[in-house]
Amino acid sequence: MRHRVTTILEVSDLACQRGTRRLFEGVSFALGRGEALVITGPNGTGKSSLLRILAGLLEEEDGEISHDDEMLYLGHLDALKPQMSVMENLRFWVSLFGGTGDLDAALERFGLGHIRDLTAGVLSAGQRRRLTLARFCCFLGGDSARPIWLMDEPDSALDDAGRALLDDLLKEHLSLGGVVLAATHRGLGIEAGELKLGEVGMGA
Amino acid sequence: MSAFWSLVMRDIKLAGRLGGGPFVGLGFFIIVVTMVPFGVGADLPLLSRIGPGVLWVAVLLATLLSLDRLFQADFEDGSLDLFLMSPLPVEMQVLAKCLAHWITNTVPLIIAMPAVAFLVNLETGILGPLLVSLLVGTPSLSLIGALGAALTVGVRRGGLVLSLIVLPLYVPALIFGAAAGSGDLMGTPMLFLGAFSLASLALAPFAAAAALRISVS
Amino acid sequence: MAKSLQRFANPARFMALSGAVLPWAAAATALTLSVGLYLALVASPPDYQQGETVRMMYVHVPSAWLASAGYASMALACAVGLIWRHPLAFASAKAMAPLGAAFTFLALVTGSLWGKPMWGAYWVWDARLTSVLVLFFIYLGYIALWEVIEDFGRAARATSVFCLAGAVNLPVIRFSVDWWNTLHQPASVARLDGPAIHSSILTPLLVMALGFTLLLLVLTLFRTRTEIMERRAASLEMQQAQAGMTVRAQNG
Repeated sequence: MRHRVTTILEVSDLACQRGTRRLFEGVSFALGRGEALVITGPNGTGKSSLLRILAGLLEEEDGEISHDDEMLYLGHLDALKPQMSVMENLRFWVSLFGGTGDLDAALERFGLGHIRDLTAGVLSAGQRRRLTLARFCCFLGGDSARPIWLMDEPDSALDDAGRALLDDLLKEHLSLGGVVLAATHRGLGIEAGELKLGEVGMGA
Repeated sequence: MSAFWSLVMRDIKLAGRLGGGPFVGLGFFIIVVTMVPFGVGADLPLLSRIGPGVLWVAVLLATLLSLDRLFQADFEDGSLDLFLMSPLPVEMQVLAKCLAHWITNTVPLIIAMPAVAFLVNLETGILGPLLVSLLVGTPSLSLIGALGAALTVGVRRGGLVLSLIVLPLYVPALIFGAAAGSGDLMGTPMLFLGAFSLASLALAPFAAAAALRISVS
Repeated sequence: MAKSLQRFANPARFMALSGAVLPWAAAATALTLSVGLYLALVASPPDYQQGETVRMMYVHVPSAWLASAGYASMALACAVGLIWRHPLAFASAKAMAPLGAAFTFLALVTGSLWGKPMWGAYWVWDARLTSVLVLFFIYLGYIALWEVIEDFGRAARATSVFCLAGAVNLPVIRFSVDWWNTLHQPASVARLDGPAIHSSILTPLLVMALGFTLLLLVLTLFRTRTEIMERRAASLEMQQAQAGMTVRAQNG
């Protein structure tokens, strides 16, 4: 039986409207330190929109969100500049979000250390995804600058090895008191609650 | 390096590495200035009189053309989403991008100005005031342009609409800039120009930041 | 409480109220304009200097007033829209824009025609008409933004930000154009003013101004209703398409 610690992210009765379509409504959940929520559902049911609402990029139609901690977002797109090197891309984003940590170690962890000075334009899709994930290494744990991680299909384009690295990253973050919300088709190798979209009034 | 300067340096780096750097804008600027004598005739006294105005218009057009790329790439690759979540206020980020834009697009034009001034037979005494007027006035072009770029990012025919909405807002800068560029250094037009630039510095980042949030949602 | 512009789909109160008011307002407009035109074109005296062409003033001056007043109203509506998110505010601003632009264009044309006998040219870049020209471009920019941004919500807010930016810049533009005009045209060009204010001049002018204002309001009201009905229709269409397509995911 999970013992819920202090809630650091609470969502109640959230609804999302895109144009004339109501994607979901009545979504409620609460997450405490070290907890994870996996968001599943068919395409077009609002998984990405839910994450974007939490991230503050999209306005909710209805409902309340409260959180004290900062968030870090991983979208469908990688936000990498092809003309900059692997390390330059990583350094820029970590710097913009006020993160600290060993950038080279982060690259090594995701198997990109040997190509740190290569331009990001020549990377494969899987490598790009790993590079995007690498920045999260500098925001591990509940006490980091960005303890709440919002991830939109973090495992897309990753091979088995990549997915193992992702699972390790998430497990470490959770064990250090961080929070993870991830939208996924295939599921992740971590212990997490599940929120199924595509039905009205779902909760975790 | 602080977040602000990371962003400035990143944009400067990208401008340098992306096809052509400052030279494409410079080339456009020079060609536009060259068109004028073809249009009005090689009447040296006439060119001399209209010189500051022509050079100002050419700088304005060259700046305009570079604006639709200001946020476009970031919008397309998902960087804009992350910008909006950064601890650095979006207004500061707009300022950082405007600074980088000004350095990479406009400053090369100002540097090249003494060479280009010959094309319009600019009087030697005028070059100084002209350069100062450009230094004082062109930041407002980047700032106001950023608002236009933020409003039209990712929109089809965005570049065209961008020009349409930004040019009327440029009118005071052009009027005061061209006048300041033909006259004395601390005269009325230069002061108005400075005031206009300061006002855009104060207001444009907020409007542009609001526009970015609107464009992303 | 729904936040999005989806509330827009049925502002029933507005539709009912405006539907009731519209016929009366239209009648009042027709009446005022007829009286105004009669006074302007027939009853008022010709100017001792300008002759009959002064009658152009009775169309030009109210048009110019409405060009600015229209833009100010739009800016107010846009501000209301941005602050309180009321979809009706965005709709009315959108509805008014082409009308304000039309009055601006009318002001430009009548100003030009009125000025030709005095100036000898159709366009002399005088300060006031030039400012009106820039205002015209700002109207066009606002309308163009509505046209190219596909998502209604984004378009509504983006155009509002632009409208307000224009509103803030317009006094500066006017000032700079006035200053620019004194710089390059030291010889005083006959201004597009009527002769000294006299009741026989003032009355038709005010009646015309009132008539034009009513016209703008009536047409804006009408266009706002049309805008709302279009949005309703679009909403219904989308919902129909939804119903046909939606797969209700069953909880397995």
